[in-house]
Amino acid sequence: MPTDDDLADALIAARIGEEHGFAILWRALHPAVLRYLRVVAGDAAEDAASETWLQVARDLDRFTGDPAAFRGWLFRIARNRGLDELRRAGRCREDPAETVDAGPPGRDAATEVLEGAGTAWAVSRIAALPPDQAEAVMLRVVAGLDVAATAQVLGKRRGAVRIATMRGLRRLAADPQVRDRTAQGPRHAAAEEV
Amino acid sequence: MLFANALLRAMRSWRAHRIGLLEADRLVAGDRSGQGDSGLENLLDAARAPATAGETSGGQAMIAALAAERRRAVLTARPKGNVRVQVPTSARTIVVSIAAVVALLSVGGTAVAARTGNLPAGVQQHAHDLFSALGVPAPGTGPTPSAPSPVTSAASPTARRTPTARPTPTPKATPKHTPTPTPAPTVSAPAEVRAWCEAWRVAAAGGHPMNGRARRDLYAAAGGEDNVAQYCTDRIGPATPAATTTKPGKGHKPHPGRNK
Repeated sequence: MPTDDDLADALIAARIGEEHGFAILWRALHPAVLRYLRVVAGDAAEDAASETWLQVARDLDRFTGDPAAFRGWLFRIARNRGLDELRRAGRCREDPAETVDAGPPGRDAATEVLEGAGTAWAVSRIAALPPDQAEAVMLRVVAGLDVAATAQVLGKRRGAVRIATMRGLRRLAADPQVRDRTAQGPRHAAAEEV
Repeated sequence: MLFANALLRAMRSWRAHRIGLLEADRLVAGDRSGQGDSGLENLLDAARAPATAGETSGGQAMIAALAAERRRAVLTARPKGNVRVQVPTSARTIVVSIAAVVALLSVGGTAVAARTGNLPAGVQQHAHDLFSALGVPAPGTGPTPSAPSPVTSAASPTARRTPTARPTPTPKATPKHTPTPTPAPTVSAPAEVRAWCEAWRVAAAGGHPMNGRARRDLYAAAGGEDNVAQYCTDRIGPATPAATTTKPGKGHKPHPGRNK
């Protein structure tokens, strides 16, 4: 993981359109964006993530602040694009043409299992929470936002964010699948499940 | 077996309730110091694990696309800013100045037309109502040099020396001034009526236009624009040089010499 200083330099480079700046930002933050969007937009997460990053590239001159602020800005954009994609997917479910470029070919459930099955499983369990709890947990745990930034992304008060996070964690702790994994260990459980 | 399930459920709810706000903060921070729920901690660790190969595949293309998008945004944003600042302002100045010239010409032309009494009767009447203080005459009474109308000069031989004698009938009088019979005979103080009538005759002959308020009062007193001539003849007699030289009460001095 790059440090905040690296990210600050990357932001400056990216603002003038230098590829290595975007490389650092994207590699550092895209996984979290994509996982968060799986919770927000489900199957449309890939499209929403692409839209998010393209909007970041377009509007980067409007952003001023440190890497921590950039994280908040990025996930605010991600949330909006995710909700957009969700709406669009709900409207025209029968039009799959848009998803051609979403990912490399052959990226199916099987490869998913081989690469980061535990992560995919964990995100799917979080996505099963009520939406406000799922988003709060993802932004706090995966995106690494603090309570204030999470509150800003979600448009809620800080207290509401803390409570949603707590309830989400309680519910996850009570999740039978999560409890089962305690004994078996994540790797084996994932292999067995799929 | 049933007992085991019940026990499991009880433990589950007990554990679930154990997570408070502080415990949640600890879990979020990834701090494993507490005697925690290893299943939940494993899940959270898996959720924030480093990028998987699937997540970063296609990254190089995406990064190149982002840099290109950014450069395009930079390129289009800058000239757009210049264009927005400069070209529209010059266009705006041109448009504004053309509009100003057109407005000036039309207003000025209308003003000249109104001053010389060349507007259509209705418009002239409006202009007169609004700007009579600026010397805009009523319709049919414009200060044209050929003021004496052939009708009056032919009709009354007594008026030959002063063509102001009998006012031209104004058939285009607006219905606004239709006879209002109310205050006609009562208000007439002789000096005032004399002044009104003299001013009106001067104006009717194409001289200095009459003060709008005085004209209105005169119309009201006479019971309508059409009756003014008769009214004035009744009150101060037919127009004569003597009538026009008497001193008027108000500031509306008739100037026979100005009746060019």
